Amino acid sequence: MAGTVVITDRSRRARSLGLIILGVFLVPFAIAVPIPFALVGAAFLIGGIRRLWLSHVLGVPTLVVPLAEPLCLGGVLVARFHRSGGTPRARRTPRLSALLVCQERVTYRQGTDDHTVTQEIYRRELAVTTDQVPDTVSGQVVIEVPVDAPPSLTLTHNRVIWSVQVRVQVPGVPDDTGRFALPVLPVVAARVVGDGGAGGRAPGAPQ
Amino acid sequence: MSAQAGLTLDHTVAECGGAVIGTASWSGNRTGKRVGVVLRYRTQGRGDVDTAVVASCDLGIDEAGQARFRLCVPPYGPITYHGQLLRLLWQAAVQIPRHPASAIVELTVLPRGWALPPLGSPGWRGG
Repeated sequence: MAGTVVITDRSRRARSLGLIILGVFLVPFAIAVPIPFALVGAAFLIGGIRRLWLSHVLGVPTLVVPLAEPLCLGGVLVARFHRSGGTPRARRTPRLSALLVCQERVTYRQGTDDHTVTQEIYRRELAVTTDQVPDTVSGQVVIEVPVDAPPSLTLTHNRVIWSVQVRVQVPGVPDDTGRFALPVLPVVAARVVGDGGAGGRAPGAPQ
Repeated sequence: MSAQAGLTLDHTVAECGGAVIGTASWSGNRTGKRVGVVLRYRTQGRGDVDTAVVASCDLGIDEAGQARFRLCVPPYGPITYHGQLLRLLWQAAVQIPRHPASAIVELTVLPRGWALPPLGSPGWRGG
């Protein structure tokens, strides 16, 4: 679609393949030290296969965001969500809900190991309208960014990450959450400036 | 005699895409190398440090002098930030060769449009 950004969440498929590879990797160890490695390897294999099966059953969650409207502090944006593929059963009477989440994520090196620490600093439920079209999982998500929150930050070791998490609940099918990272610019939305400026405490300012 | 430097900013608050304007003074630059003023940020906190010089201004090779400068803040930040795991701080610094960071002033960088001050006003509503 012209003038939009399409974000798909394929992390479930990637994670499932990772688990399967890990499970297969543990097979030689299972021959040497049978019981513990066989159990761990089997757990990874089963977990990976289950995730692949879920990916087939549920389909791929996708968020379509208008390109002309980058997310700003205090800004509002209407995005379209849909799930493509999946079995007919997973498209029966879906219920959508969505969250806007902001996390700080830092990495540091200790010895030869890299560690990552993540801290959630903002979470808010978003308004969602589910399309009443048979045999489809789709809807509209209204993303409203607070004005006094930090914008996205993408440095080598220090990040502030905004994401929209859309949860799909269908009776008789496991719940599914699609995660979509969205950049928030360090710009106050025009509607806020038009109201007389943001003012108040700056984003991330000391209390 | 060691080198000395001074730095004064017109405002210690700037916005993304705006400018940091001030006056730098220095003396004792006997190396004949270039004196400059830089705008840079640095992170603190649990993560490894990220730092970068985003703008610089050449002040010449004089042994001593005083000059006005203007440094552009990148339009998309980063902004000054005091979070739970990380902090991001901005500084302007005069750099005299072999006398690193002889004068440093901390400043606050805010999102664009956060709280624009009327022209000539002494301060900002934000910060």
